[in-house]
Amino acid sequence: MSASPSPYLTQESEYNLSEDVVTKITEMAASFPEKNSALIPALHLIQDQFGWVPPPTIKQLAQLLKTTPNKIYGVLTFYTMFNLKPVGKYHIQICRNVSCSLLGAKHIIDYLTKKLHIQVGETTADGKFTLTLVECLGACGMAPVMMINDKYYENLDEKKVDQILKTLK
Amino acid sequence: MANQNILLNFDRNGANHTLENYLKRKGYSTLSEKIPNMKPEQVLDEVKKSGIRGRGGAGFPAGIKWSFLPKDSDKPVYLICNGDEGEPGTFKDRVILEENPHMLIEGMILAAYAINAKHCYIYIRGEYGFALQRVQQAVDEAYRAGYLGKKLTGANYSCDITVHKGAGAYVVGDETGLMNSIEGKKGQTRNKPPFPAVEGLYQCPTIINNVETLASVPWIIDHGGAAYHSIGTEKSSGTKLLSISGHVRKPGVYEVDLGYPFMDFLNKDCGGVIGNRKLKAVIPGGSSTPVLRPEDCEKITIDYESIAEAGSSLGSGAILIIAEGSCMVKTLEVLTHFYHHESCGQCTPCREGTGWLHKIVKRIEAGQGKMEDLDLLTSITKHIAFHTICPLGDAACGPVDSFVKKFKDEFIEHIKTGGCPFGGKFVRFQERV
Amino acid sequence: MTSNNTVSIRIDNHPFTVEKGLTILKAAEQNNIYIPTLCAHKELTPYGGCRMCLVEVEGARRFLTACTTPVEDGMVIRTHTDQIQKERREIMELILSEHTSSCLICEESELCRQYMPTIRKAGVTTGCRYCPNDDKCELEKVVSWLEIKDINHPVYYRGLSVEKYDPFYDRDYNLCIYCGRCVRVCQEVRLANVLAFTQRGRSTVIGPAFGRSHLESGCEFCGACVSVCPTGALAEKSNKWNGVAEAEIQTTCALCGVGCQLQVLIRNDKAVATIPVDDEFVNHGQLCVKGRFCVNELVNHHQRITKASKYQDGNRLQIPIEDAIAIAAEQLKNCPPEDFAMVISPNCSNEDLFIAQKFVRTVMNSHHIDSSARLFYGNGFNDYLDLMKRTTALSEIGQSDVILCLGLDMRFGRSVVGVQIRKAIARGAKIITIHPNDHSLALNAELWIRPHTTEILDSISQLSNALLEKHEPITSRLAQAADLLNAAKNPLILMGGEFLPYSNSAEIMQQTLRIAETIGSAIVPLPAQNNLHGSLLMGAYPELLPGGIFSDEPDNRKKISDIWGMTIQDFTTDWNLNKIFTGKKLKVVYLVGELPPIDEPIGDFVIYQNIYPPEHGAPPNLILPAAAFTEIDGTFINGAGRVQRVQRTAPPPGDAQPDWQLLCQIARKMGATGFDYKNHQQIQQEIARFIERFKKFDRKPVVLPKHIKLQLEPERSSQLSETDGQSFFVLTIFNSEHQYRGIPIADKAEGFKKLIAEDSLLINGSDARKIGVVDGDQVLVSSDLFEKSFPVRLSDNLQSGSVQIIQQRFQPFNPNPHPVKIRRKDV
Repeated sequence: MSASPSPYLTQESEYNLSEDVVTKITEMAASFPEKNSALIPALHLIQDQFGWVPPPTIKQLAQLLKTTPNKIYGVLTFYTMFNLKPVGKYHIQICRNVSCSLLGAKHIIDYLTKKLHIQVGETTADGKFTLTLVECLGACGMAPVMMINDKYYENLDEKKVDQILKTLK
Repeated sequence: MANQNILLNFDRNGANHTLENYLKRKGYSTLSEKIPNMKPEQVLDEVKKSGIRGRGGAGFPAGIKWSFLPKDSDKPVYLICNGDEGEPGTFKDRVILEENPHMLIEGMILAAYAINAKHCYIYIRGEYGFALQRVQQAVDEAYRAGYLGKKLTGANYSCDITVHKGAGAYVVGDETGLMNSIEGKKGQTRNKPPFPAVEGLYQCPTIINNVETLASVPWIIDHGGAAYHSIGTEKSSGTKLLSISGHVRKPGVYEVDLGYPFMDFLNKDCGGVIGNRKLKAVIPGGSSTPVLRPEDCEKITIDYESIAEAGSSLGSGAILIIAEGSCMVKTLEVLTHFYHHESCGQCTPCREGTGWLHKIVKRIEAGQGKMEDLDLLTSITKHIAFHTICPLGDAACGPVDSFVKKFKDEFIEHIKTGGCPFGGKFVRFQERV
Repeated sequence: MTSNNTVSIRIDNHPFTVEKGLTILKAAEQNNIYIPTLCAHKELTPYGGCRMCLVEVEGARRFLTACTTPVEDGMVIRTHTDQIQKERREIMELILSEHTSSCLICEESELCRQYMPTIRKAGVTTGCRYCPNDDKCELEKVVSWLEIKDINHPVYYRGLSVEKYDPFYDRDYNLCIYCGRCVRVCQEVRLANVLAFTQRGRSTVIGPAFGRSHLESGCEFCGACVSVCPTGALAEKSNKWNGVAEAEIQTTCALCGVGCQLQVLIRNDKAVATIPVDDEFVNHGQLCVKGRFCVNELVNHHQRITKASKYQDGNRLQIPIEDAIAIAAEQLKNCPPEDFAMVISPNCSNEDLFIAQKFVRTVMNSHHIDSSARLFYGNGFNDYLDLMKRTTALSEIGQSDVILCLGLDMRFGRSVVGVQIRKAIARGAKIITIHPNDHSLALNAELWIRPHTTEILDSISQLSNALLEKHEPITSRLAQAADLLNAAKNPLILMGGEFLPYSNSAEIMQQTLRIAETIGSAIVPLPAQNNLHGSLLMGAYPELLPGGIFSDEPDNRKKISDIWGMTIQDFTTDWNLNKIFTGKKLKVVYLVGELPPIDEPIGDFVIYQNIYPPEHGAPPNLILPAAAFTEIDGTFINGAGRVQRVQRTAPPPGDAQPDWQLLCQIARKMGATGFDYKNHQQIQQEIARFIERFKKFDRKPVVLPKHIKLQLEPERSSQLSETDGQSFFVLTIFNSEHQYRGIPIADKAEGFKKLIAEDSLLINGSDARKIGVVDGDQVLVSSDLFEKSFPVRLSDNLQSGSVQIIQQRFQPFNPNPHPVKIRRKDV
């Protein structure tokens, strides 16, 4: 007999976890000594399915892992790799840390914002590119470096950026 | 003096990550040949004898760490491989993960045997997509070949490895933060005691080592702890992977015997400073270690003691070269931004202090600083350092104190002239080798 | 001397022997040495975040946090050296740089203090705009202890907007110091996981997911977070400006049958707030929203009846209490037994109930006494009582491995039981919940069986049959449930309120009993009324005498007569409360904390004795002001049969008096003897002659006698109607269980209205879209038997196709649930 907005479950939504993802999460949850260990891998799976982590999926996940959306959200926002809103088809993440900065990361960032006509943190109007700054990607020997989706592009200069963007359809 | 290749014992241009290739390099022979004749205590003994110090940054002797496990616990023991390589400037574990994963796996199996762990985790930072893929492939191969699983090929014990993908948080690189992350929590550091060896992952005794440390174990067991100890210096034994980046002509990952002269390494192995510029500064062990001026570096050798004597630390072996013409205030601004961004928010001094550090450095760089700001910076670091649960607070202070101390003139110039003498930008270097 | 369990340490040059494993902080506290802390709290795991408790330990490389470091033998600890004090001051300055703190360090703060609570002043001058100045600010205490007069850092105001839209408490996170107490209490103690730290570092925010309100996020409004907050960031709306409490008195909550122990905070002879007591039997330091936030509003509302009054020519006239007693005595004296009736609330104390029935039986020579419980439980009452006879202590939840919950939602009511269930889950117990709607157990139950409202009985009997190994085809979930229950070593059944109004509730209860007998489990029925048990044992029903024995047996009557030393009349009657709908009009009706749900006058002369004026129906002839439960001494018996003490925490307002005192005065006025009690203890001594347990209070449960049974109305149709093809929805009607003495809590406690929508049509969002209505629209709900209009409230907890109404005022609805048509009322 409760009349307030439902905190517990989602009714129909356009973001339903695929059967495959649900199976994988259920299996993972059973394989760890504590169910909750499957949380971060599960969030990765969700992000793989949608490109970001849509709020309704958090409720579905909460039910699979017997926890609450609020607790998951705390974890979700702690880590930088999870996207809380949709990103472009190509998510460009440029390292802004020390080695890359020393070798011209700023120029690459400026070049990309000019070329894509977006600011850092924005997505192009056609939904193709999102530009984000990140901390050290662990590729300092090949600085400056950026990551597009999960692939690294290293030793960047303007010419190389042009070439890379051309290959991304 | 020729440096040994223990970890990079393969042609860096080939496909070396496969089981086939590893077996060609006599891989898994330690497991199948030595282990059947060794008791766990003997394995532990050899690691102790080797004197190998933790390669993640803190440099704590691995063998001693393993011996902290309680003898009378009936809980399972876990082994974790820390592959959350996040210290800016560091990219050496990535080479092992991507190019030599089987050596790591064999090392973990041996370590697990020594400490009686049945289940191991490899935690790899989420950004390392390729490394994750390679390691998972290698783990799968090892299971198929019977090196992992119920009863291991050539040895009478079982060992499982789970690969865990991180999700982007520098603090998770800390031992207990990483355990929290595996448990599906925020990667905040735990209060100690209890220490991980007593109560770690899932409240069970846990040993956690860096990728490089564990990957060195097969060689140590194969050749004996004494042989490993004979490499390097008395207190810094063995070889060390160095990741060198910044204004250097041949950046990359190198393996050197500890005790190797720094200037030889920079000028001979790595081709010297880019564009024939003069060396301006060196951060010798990852972004958290205090910066050194060129004159500090003349005499140092690459090992824990020598660099400590010079007032810094070998850390993770990530060497950052800064050439003349770069703005040190701007460099510090980048670093303080990083620590502020990565502060988890649990401890007051770090949460509030890193923010102030960044804010103040930023305003000095923008020409809006005051002379008092320099004292304020050092007074804030005094209250952060050693007053937080995890070392992030300390790490944020190392660069601030040393930059201000060693390049004070440059800071004063910013304040006095009301602007950045370098135009607020880093110099661009065209020449790369 | 140190033994195996103790260690020797030195703190500030004094030697101490303390228990092994203690933290330095606890060791210091035990020995009256003050170490400042902001994040440590006795109920929470150490956090080590604020760093105020740094101490120097000889041999340690750095300062250690006293709250996290365990003592070791030989430890030498220094708690306030100059250096440590300096560090603390600096760290505090960092905290203050983010806490709008000017009042903490202002030179004139002492002078200012006396004016601070004036709202205008607080808004203009002091930093802490919402500072309630209630002496609870721990930050203030530590700042003054550290003698901080100035801070080196510019103050950084976060500029967050104050969150005032949720009921019961305001949140101003500009004042938050990230000590994490609220998050930890929500996660560790309540296991509710509503609050979490989100983001990280300086961008950290505290709150539920996706920036939603607490209401939308499953918050139970238990107030645990408010209780532990060391600053003014979280403040209770209704108690914010009440100032510092002058006293605290423990009593038992009267807002449901769980019977939580409350600490009532008192100021100016008023109960200004209630906080939980760490009670080992019932609530273990927890409260639900009603106990934590509704009590003070419920008892202090400006509409309280403070004076007696009578109605004359349609006007209500205030009269002296003595006159009112005389009028009542006069009317009652002339009333024959068969023309009299008393209706008394099961919210009353045992002492009130006992005196009431003694009054009816010895003064009025009648047996016409009944309670609204009869209407609430309907024709399933006896079967519900059968469950109550199998009750066990709530603490059994802690030992159970499989718990079957039937129609139980513990988000708002009974949330303290919810906490115990979540603790059981955390320790590995499995929960099976049968509930047609989304509810508080949906997320963490092992199995949620979700039959449609018309199929509840089917599900439960199928489960019962499966347990008896009758091989019938059943759903896989029910089969799983049967397997879990069969394998359980220590199963337990909890019965919530959801199925009580169903027409087939009797069968549902019988099947539940059958399950309990099959698997050998106890049942915790969790009644809504705080003293249902007491109303039965005291004999507040026509059928029952004190001790719960039947009134129609001459031996019983004789036994009671002998004790009282007066004759109880042979008096056969078939009167009970149901007769008010059909029976003849009585001469005098005496209502004690009750208001029967009909509009016509139920008697020629109606005496209404309560804490609030009647909300509906014909006006009574005489109104007597009664005391609320915070104003009386006595006892309640909770749902598990535990006899618990009720203590007077504040005087009743005006002429109001405890029910038993009013009754005794009337009895004496009527010339009756046996009503000269000086205090409640004397009544208890008399009760003890009927019920052993009252001789001595040890809070051990008293069991409901096995024979107790009431004469219920002839069986109503227990068949649920089939859908007739034209009706789209199945309506279930509930009687609100959130009432005290017939007063809806939502009427008096402002915030509660936001939690539970009563007298509204609850419908799921997609169904509402289908019929084109939105939240707040008026709709006409109709069937063959029923037609009424209601405002719409959306609730996605409901299944598609089922709607419900929680009625504040009882009205028969049969069969329940049944199919209805719903259409939007034309504007």
